[in-house]
Amino acid sequence: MSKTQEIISVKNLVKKYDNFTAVNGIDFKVSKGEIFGLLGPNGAGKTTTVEILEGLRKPSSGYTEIDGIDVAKNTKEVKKIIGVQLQECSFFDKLNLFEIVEMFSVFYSSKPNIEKILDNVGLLEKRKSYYKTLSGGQKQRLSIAVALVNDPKVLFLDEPTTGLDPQARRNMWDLIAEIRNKGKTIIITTHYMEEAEKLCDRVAIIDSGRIVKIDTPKKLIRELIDSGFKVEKKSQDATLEDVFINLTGKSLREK
Amino acid sequence: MKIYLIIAKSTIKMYFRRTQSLFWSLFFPVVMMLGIGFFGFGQFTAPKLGIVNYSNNSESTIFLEEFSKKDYLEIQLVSASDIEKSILEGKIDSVMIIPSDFTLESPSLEISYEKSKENIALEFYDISQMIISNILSEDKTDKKIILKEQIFENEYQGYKGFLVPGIVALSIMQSGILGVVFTLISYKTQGVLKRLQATPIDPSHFLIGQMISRLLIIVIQTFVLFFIGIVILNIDIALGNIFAWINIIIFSVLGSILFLFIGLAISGASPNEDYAAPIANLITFPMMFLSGVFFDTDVLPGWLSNITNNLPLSPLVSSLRESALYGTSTIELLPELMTMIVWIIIAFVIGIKTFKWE
Repeated sequence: MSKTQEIISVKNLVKKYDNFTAVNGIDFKVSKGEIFGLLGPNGAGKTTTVEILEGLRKPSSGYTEIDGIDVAKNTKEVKKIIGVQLQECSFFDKLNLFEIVEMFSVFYSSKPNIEKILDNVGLLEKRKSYYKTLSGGQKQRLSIAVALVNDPKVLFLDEPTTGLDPQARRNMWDLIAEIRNKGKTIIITTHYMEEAEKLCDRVAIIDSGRIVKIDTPKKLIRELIDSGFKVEKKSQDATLEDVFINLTGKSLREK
Repeated sequence: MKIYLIIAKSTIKMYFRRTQSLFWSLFFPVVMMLGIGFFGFGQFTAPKLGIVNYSNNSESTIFLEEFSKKDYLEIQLVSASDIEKSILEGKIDSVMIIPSDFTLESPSLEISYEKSKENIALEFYDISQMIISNILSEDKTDKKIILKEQIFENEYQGYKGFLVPGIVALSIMQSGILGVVFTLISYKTQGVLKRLQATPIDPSHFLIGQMISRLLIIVIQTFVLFFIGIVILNIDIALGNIFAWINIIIFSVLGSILFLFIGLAISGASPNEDYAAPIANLITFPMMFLSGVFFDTDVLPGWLSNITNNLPLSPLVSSLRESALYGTSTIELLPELMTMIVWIIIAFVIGIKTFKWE
């Protein structure tokens, strides 16, 4: 097997705030075309790690590289080749979706087919609507549309499904899988394990600013079972969520 | 360049789509202008009468003594050479000249006034007539005063002319400060600025683009408000002096820069978002009343007007007013210009030092 091409490399990353260490020596590598998940409870350091990679925060120490570019040194160059969907962000409330995507295209000096980008995330019909009239799922999808204006090599998705209803979440999973199929590398943070299991090629489990484990979801599960772990045997093979989806359907509930 | 264009385009679009911004920057000042302008707020002050006495005989002395008993009038002696100037600047409503051959038996007076103050001049005339009739009442005579009138026209524009430039200046301040404070703070709290930071553009480009678009909007607003003053309140800007318009452009641009920077400084210096709006109000409110928008700062005690004349809004009010009413040259307005530049520098330094993206 030929060695897979590395696109992201993080070495001994540390981020300290006054009296609190958010990230405490993290190392990982991501290969081209992978969906790499950063999993962990709230406050584990996922978002801080991602924001350092996105060039939004300066690390206290350590080295980060995307596509051969030193993030700390050439932040601007890195920003040009990545797409970013932030956990907490918003867009101009009185611009319509077309105008928002257009504006960001100019910021990235790219000339994408805006209609096509909106169509890819299922928002073409909404192109004349204002941002503030969108539902939560639509806002997230717009955020992804904006992240794709520069045809990025790496896409960062920070908790893209938090706060979405099950239909919107499934729709988001499909969208993320589609984007990966177009050859993009995706870094995703989440605290929904089902989501990680479904989407991620590999996951890093982070707690208190350190990586506890990195591997494919399958191997991690295998390892746990091999160590003698047993789940209390469920009598049923479906979950309440399956019931919910079965009863309410998979179609999106948005006006 | 393309970045500035798209930011300008978007900012202007958003401005016109946001009804509150239109309300505060156009509708509200217009209502204030029309309301107060038509109502004649300025005439609530006592009518001011200047007197030039060429006669100095006993009869004129008696006449003037009676006049000064009317305490609803504000009477002062003026010298003949000041008549035109004080009337044109609106410092005095009307001047009454008592000729050297004045007698109560065959009284003659000369009254000078600006055309728009004819009512006040007529009032003075009626009062004079009444006083003379009263003095002579024992004789049961009723001598009509022979009146000579000198009318100055179209120069002093009455309170409306005073008010319009004041309100225009006030609106420049409000749009400048509030526009920046509220948009920047909402962009900051909602995470718009953070999302911009994730793009390859330098976020200061965004800030500059915003400022330039706002500046354009404010200059347009200035012209719209003056235009409404001309059309609806019939004021005459700069008496047809084209240079006055150049002055108006210079000072409205400077004023916009000044108050945009003050807005930036407030957004930066306030400890958190909740403080910004109250601080903005705290800063704008006193200026609204103490910088000569609605009334001349001459009426304030000297020590106070020394302070208020140096507030950021005062030089903008007085330069716009001087330009609009008298077509004063830029050179004569240099002191105002300098005061504004000093404030621009102060606000800029505070803004740059304190502004945080997160």
